[in-house]
Amino acid sequence: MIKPIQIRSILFISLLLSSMTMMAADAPDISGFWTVKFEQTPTGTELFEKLPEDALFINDAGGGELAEGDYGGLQLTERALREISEYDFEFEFSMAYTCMPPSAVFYMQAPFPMEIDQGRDLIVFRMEYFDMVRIIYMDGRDHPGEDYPHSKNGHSIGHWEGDELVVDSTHFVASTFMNNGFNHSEDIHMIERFKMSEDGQTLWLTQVYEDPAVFAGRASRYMAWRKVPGEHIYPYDCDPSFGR
Amino acid sequence: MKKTARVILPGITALFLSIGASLGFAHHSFPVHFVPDGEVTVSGVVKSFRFANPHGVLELTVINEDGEEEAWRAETNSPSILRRRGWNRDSLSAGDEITITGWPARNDDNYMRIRSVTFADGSILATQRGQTLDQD
Repeated sequence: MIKPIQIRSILFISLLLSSMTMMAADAPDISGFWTVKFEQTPTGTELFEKLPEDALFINDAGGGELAEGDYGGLQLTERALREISEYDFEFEFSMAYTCMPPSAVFYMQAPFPMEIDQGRDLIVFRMEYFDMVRIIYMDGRDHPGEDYPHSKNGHSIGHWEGDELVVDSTHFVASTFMNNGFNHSEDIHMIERFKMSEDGQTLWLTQVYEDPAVFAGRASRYMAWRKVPGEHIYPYDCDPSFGR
Repeated sequence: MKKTARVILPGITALFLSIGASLGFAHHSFPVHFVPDGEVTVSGVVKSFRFANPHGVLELTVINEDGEEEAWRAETNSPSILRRRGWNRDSLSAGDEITITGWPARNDDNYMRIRSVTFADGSILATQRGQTLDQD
């Protein structure tokens, strides 16, 4: 026999699932081909209002790489400084390095197009850069335990907050953070907010990072893409023979 | 939260300016390996051209001021980006007489990142936005 408290629980869960389905159904459709938007003036100011005030803005997204020794003003830890001092830039021209992709922390702001496939329980980002494929779980699951494999794509869980897609990512492997010898650690935590313009032609992204193993406090980046109907990403097919 | 936007926006303006002037993203660091405000120009004959990611590579035979042959290598930015700017694997062929302009490498006298290629007939193939067919 079902007790009243069980009925209330069932009703609550049903309402929750129903509301989640409605949220997914009402969510913007960000599917399609997006290419980097080179803007002369910023258009995605709404997302910035949600950036934490203490998140140091890194001014290198979309191809504006920082020089050696410039880490955007971040206060680096001893570990980061040691790794930087040991970094061999000539290795970047080796065959072993040539086709080594960066992590999502870095490749999301690279100036390459992407295609997004959006479902109810999954959103898939297919990146032209290094053929990376990133899955965002939208089914309400949590991050796995620490023993779950870390990877360049990391583990990402997302949800909609109104018309904004919020993605929480962990489980990365250490990889370049600024493409200048400074790597993020395997414990970096990244929170992203995606928002599409009302006309559906622009997609904005802010990222906020925490990685106390290599820098103090928080950092952030911003990106914008424009939609190109009918376009598709090309295979990257990295050729290691570029390396010496 | 409005304060955050006001504080950050000047930085964002700088960001957009820097994006507009982007020199081309690399799997390796561009400012570490090349001189962003430098320029080098050489003329010669194409020995080979490889058009594959992460960088196209051009081998060029140059006759220097002493009349001696010099071997030059030059890399492009990503062919993925360049194919949307009118490039393909047949853009350059062995035997083509060309002049290339680009950013000099910091640690290699005969290496550069290509900004543009000028052919004997005066036509130009460029690697950067705004200099050629640009769909980015």
